[in-house]
Amino acid sequence: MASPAVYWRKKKTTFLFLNKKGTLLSFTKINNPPKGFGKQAYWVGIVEFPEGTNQIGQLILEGKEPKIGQAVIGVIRKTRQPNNEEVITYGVKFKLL
Amino acid sequence: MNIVVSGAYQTNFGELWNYSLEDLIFESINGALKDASRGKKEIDVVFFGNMLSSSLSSQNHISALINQFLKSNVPVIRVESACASGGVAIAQACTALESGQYEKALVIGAEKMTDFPVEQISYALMNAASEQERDAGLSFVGLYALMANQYIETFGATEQDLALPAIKNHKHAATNKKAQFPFEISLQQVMESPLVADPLRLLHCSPISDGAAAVVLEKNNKKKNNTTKIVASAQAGETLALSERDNFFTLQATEKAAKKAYTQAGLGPKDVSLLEVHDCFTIAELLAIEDLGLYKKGEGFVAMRNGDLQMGGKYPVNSSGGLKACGHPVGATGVKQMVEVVHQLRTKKPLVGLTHNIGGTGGTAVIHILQR
Repeated sequence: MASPAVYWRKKKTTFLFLNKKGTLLSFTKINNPPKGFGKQAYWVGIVEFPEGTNQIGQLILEGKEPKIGQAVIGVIRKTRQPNNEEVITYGVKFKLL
Repeated sequence: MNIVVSGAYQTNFGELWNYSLEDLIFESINGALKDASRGKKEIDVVFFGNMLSSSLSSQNHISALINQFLKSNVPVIRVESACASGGVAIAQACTALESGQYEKALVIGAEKMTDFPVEQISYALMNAASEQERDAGLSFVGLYALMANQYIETFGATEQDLALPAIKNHKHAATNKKAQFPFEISLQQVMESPLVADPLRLLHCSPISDGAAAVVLEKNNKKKNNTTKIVASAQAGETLALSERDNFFTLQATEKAAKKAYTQAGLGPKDVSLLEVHDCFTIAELLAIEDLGLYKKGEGFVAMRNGDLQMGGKYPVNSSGGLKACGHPVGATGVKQMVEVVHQLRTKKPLVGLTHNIGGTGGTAVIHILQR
């Protein structure tokens, strides 16, 4: 789990892709989440942005079916399932458009 | 390059409840030395491939433990390069022998994994991924699933094609007494196994394993019966993060290491008669046979359908059962691949064998070519 210091340091890059539109290059559904990511399955994708940079992150489907080539936008969301004494971490996830 | 593999030994792979990490290391050392007809005191230097002993077995100074067992004061160097630790340990030994500083090197690869809960193993393995990938909640099967989905989308392979390497490798493992899963599986069993990370199912994945392997390498061995030689040793790297690459169906590290290895050996892909490749997930085997130059991009799955990669086929791949069915004690895998190729070269008389060992999602690739 991220310590507050580690989380604070990451803020320089965490929100770079907030509200940016990109294209889905690949995706998968994680059915067995690692420790700290709860028990529910979720989707993860690699997104290409117009300036040529790629970013990896969780996807928000909102009832849509992910497809390679699909447009997405960066939105702010809670990124992990912390226990009561841990920092609640927020970051960017990618919502299907 | 002309380095003789004078000894080669593999322990059983699997859930070895009665074996500690030390037991596995010591059995592999004894087996390799006996096979080489060498004593402990004849070894000049030791390279030890291991990924997880620091994070799982609370043993950071395992090199000195090997000195303790050998009852000698030779240099022992631990090599960590994720799942390529064993292959990189062999490459480092080759460099040491080629330098002229040493004449006889012992290379060991070992890992003890099954004492620990799956969640703990997955967490430890993900230390070989990027921070961004960990923060996204990915596991290694998830990362290879991202590769598989882009491969399927680009080249028109099917989910059934992803099952074929697993079926083939289980068939090969069925004749390997040291394999973790020495039995065959059907297409139906693969396709009905649970989805771990879409499109990869449980039976597309290599298992958590215990095991060790060791080889004795010699620079100036004049014995007539020692005819298996390493003629090329090459390593290359690529970005740690999968997302930083141009595409996710080519491992540039494999391509570049293969090119160097073929040049060193004065051989090409068509000269290879047997391969052990890194099939941590079945998509990895499809990518490997293409990146190694055996087939063009997007044609590997067609060759797999045609049976080219089975024993008796055009390019027999993973006669041991591969990582999928022989098992994948991560630090041992690269050394086990060489043990398997050496045994095949000794007994079944193919002329040229190749080993291909990958770390992470291809951040490290190491290739050795052996010739009889």
